[in-house]
Amino acid sequence: MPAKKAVPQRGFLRSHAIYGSTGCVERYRGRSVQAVLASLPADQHAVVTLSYLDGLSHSEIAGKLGLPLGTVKSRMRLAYQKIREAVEDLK
Amino acid sequence: MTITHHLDDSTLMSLAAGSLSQTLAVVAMSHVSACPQCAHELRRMEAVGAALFAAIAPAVLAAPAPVHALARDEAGEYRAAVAAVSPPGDIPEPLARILGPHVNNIVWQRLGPGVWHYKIALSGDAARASGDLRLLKISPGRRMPDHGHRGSELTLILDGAYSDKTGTYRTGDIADLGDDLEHRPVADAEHGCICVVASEQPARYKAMIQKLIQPLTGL
Repeated sequence: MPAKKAVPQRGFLRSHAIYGSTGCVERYRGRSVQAVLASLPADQHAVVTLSYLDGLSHSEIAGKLGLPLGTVKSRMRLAYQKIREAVEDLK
Repeated sequence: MTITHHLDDSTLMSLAAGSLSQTLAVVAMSHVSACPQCAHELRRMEAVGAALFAAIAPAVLAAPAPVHALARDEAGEYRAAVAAVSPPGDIPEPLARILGPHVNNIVWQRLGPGVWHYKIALSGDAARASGDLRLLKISPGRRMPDHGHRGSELTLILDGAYSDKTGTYRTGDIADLGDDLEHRPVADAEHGCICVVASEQPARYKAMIQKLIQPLTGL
């Protein structure tokens, strides 16, 4: 069996399930988060995706979507509450 | 140090996602380094972020390499500093790092009656170093001009306190402001206030400074 390859880890990537542990809990959590993400209203899904995937700041997201900054922030909070509830259910 | 004003969840999410600008990340991490509650929440968000990223990024991960993720790692640099919790009374580690050798030799510039500032130079290219980061020193009882904000702004109290209509902010507290607050902060009557302020919009900040140096009646 080949030795486990060491993966350079830095910053945000350090905690990525894809680079770190791929244990059962992480995979289950990943699926659960995926399900929650899919169930989010489109407006919350959009801000989360733009923040996490495109790396846009809240102001950049506000500019892109033509929304007030406060609306972007409240959509992020609402989305996170749902995701957090789902993740805590696993504990 | 009892912390009563914390980072907004949405700001912590942005920090966990690595999408907070460098100036805001320095101040956010300086608060996190002194605040066990926000540190705990940030760790949880990073775990969620990992699952989230894996959930929404399969197409991107199939591409050659997630270079974009590496490129926007500026917040990560400051996260690394958090392992060491900043003791009360010291300049928080993430801020001390960016101040570098100047940390023991701050040359304050007078802005107006009872107000001094020190603009912190940022490293990195212009895009990453966008925004404005500065220390503010406000003498006891000094009332700042009424002002609003455009874009995000983070203010971390390093010493003393200030009050506005949203409450009193003491050492270690952070004011996490969006563009929806207009306020007129007043520095603590006894100790004044030293804080570090990160703004996304330097132009907006300049307008505030101009207001400040205008002769104000009743001061």
